[in-house]
Amino acid sequence: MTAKEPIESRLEKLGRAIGSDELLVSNVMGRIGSIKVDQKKFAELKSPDVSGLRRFIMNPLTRLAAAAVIIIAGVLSITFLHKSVAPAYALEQTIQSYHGMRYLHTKFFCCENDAVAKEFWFEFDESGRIKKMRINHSEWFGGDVYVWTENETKSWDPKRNSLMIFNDEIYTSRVLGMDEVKGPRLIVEHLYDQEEKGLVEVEIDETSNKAEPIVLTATYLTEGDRFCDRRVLFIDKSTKFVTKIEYYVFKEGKYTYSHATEYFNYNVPIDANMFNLADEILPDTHIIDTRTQDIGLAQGNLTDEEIPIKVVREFIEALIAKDYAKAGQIYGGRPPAEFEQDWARQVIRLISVGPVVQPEKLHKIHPDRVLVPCTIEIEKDGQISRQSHEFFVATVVGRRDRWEIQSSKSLK
Amino acid sequence: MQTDAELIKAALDGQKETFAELVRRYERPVRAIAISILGDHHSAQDAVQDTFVAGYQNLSMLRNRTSFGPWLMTIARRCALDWANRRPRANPPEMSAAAAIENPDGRLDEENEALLAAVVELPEAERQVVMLRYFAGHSVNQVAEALERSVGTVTKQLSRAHKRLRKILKES
Repeated sequence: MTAKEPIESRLEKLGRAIGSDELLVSNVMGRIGSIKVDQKKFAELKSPDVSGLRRFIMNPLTRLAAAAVIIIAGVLSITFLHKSVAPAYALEQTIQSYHGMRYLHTKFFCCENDAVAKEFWFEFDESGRIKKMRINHSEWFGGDVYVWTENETKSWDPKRNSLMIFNDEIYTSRVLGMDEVKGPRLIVEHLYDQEEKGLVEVEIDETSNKAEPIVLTATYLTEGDRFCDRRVLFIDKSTKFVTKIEYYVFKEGKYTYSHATEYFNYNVPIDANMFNLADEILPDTHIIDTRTQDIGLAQGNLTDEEIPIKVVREFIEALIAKDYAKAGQIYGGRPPAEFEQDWARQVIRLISVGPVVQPEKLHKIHPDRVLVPCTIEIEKDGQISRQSHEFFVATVVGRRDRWEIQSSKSLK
Repeated sequence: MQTDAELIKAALDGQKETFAELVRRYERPVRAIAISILGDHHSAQDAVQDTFVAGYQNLSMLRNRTSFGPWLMTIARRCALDWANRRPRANPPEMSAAAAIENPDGRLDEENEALLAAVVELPEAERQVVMLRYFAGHSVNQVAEALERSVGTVTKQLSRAHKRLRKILKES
């Protein structure tokens, strides 16, 4: 094996080198022969009355004693994995309390001054699945508005007066995976799962004061998830609804506050117009519908490295030919006027394009997004000069067989 | 091909033999995790067995059955770390003749070791498809079926994993 070999064949060789053991199945089956996995027994183990690890921490003394129990339990759980028992009585109560919830309003706070960054409205179906969602981004986050339903997403950019409509599997799974979108019920269920797997340590702090919320601190024992290393949930004692979640990251030896989400108006019906932008978009709004319009260029037989270069090359060539309709079609379906009025009319020659550069971070909605460097010659005020640009090129949302330019930056 | 969730359900319903299919399906991914921690095949043998036994014992605790793979990998890591803490061992574990012939000194060569370390570094979803595709030898369609993901998702995840592995190996 050499480092120049394709990664696929190197992985296949590694698989062979790892090998298998024809005795494994019989050895394992022999060992589990006498083990009986009993669902009923498991359910009994998990009931609150017999849960030995449920923790109520009310004063410093019991807090200390509980900490000792937690440490011992943690050590034991490594050696006697099968004996570990998930506690989470309050978690279960919270999960129960969400049954039948249909509407929710959420605010996401972040940044230095803890300002509202995004606001969410949700409508759920009878089973608790999200039916409709609206996100209003704050000005600081671009001011975009998203309205999502299972088969259609509308993204409205009021500043550019542009509306994009699409139906995209990756976008939808990303939306449904967002912490705010999952809703507090699913976050709690997720924590419950993680605790069961031994990946999260849960501490429940419940004082006798009825006015004070239950405070549930969930700390990741390994590497945390993509949001944080610790979540602190504030749970209303009477309704068992989560009212706030604070997120912390582990930095320089301590847990530091990162951001928070607050939950309001549980089950207060939301006006149907909130999930329909018809009353908000303007008569002259530029509409891009990737379900019916051919945005960008078809990939055809080109590889993921070849097509981005073709996209940038054809975009520059369209500008040189003053074919602004084609330039707009390649550049995210933007209106031709944007290019007529912009720097495009100065482009006179394409000097070089490529090679493709992989960005440092994988984009969540556009995992295939790449950077394409490009050098062009322009003419301005009778002077000819060179300009270098970088274009972000990716597949079109809802049409992953097509590639488009999403944004660009001038390097000099 | 039955999904992981279907096999788990059958095992929990008393058809213990269906668990053997899960052992066959995840043997190499589990072995890979164990080798990446313990360094050689000999030490990994017991950890692999312990992983599946602990997995079976705790099967009913798994709430989301489509998460069987990642869950089992967590157990594999714990079992391997447990064995690492028990070193040195007096008696080497029993090893099959085939495995012993294939790996006479019990260790992976340097390049395979580096590649395995890179695979272990992959995000969970990508690591799972790489292990099932290349270590367990399943087709993309079979991986998609087992994990209840679309073929397109598995293909994209493999493609991203390839890119990421190239990058990790280049940097190292």
